[in-house]
Amino acid sequence: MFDWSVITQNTDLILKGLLITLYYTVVTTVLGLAIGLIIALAQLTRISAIHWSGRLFVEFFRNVPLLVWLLWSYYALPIFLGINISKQLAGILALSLYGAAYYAEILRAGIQSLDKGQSDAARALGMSTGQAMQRIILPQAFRRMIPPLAGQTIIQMKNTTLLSVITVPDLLYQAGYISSFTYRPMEVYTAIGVVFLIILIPSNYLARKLETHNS
Amino acid sequence: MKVKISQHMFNVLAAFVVLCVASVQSAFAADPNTVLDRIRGSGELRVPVMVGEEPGYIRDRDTGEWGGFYMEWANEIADLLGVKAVPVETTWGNLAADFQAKKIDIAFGLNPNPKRGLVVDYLSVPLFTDAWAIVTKPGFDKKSWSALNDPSVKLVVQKGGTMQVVAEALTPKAEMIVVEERPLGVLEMQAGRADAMVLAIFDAVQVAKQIDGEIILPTPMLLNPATIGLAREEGNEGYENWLTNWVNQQRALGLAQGKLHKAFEEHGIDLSMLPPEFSF
Repeated sequence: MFDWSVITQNTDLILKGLLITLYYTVVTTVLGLAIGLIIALAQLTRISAIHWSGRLFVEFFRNVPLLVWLLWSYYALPIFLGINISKQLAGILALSLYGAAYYAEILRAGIQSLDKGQSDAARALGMSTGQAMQRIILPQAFRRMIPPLAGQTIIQMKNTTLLSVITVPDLLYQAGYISSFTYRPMEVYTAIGVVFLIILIPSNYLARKLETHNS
Repeated sequence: MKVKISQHMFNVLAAFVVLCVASVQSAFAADPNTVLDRIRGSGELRVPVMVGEEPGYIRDRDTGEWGGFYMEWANEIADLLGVKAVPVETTWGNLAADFQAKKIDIAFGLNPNPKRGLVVDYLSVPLFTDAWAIVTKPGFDKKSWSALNDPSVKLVVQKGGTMQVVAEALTPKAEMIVVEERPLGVLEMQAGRADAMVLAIFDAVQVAKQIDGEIILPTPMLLNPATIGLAREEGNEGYENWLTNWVNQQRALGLAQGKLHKAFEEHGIDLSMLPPEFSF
């Protein structure tokens, strides 16, 4: 029933797609974490303008579907602002900002979950807020954040499949392309699912190991 | 005397106002060649290309370069304009947004659609003519739209495509199976869940080849003009006029039809499978 030769004959295209998927996962995760940390810290400040800007960012990106935001980044910027953005940049922008909103919430919750006494103690030892955050709070909070951060990164990788809508040649795009000339979509999409499993199951395992190791 | 001066002043003033209005008007009325000049100035003719649209657009599997008869036409037009055709990959669904975002300068193979016509300018002459067909397993005996309009008939259509409009208009009683993309429609046929798939004849020859199916042009034959679309914007009249001239020459000299025959043959599709009553 299944004809797996379509996969073996097109392994090169699937590998090309995989490289693109991994590239967008890594770049948007790193950028998302960096922006997410800034947004999390912004939400923790007492300056209300900064605090509310952080909240607004999170609410905006968490409540707009990624697909809408992706199409908006690619098409609306040239229409409304005359900025002609490439599909690669639109993809990175949309996925990073979208991921950042979720990472920000994980980081904020992780920091807030620590006993306030710890930052008070750090301050009593003469550390500034930044030093307390860097030396005491963040290292402990990060351990608690590993499971949700790993979960969000897995979602981030799966979210990259939406890039195919703006024809970024990721794994899902290559699946559509291979199906278009082989007319064997079931085999192709099954293979893509297997590739995701092969990448994500060990990543999950590593995240669990890291969590156990740190606890 | 006083009156005479006033009259004279009035005439001068009126002439001044008329001149001002005329100059303001001419400043606001766009030059009909604005778009044509912009394309020539940019050195690029940006053309939408898509996967899954062979032999109109063919992406080289290894190099990723774009060919196909639409791309050949784009190259010919670009040569005449003294620019280079630049492929911009997209999908049918995103085409209107591409026009709106000024990411493309031309699109080939568009079917008439008044709703889309509110945001996209279509040339008034088709580049070639397609027809609506069905692909079935050999032995299917319903050869007219009225015979297909029967609750026992299961028809596959592609979501959002013009074929869905055709099927809804002509075969409302038939059971309609809506699929996201063409290969999934083929699966429906292979799984035995559908009797026939409604397709433009161009696509029908591809699908028929894949499933060893038969092409039927249901009667009465519905012709489907494939035209060229441009972004709706001020100053595109000259460009539209020039392209209409190009299309007329393509059709009058048989260049368009010749290219289509050649493209299908090179793609390994035997056009003798087309019903004899059809020509491009």
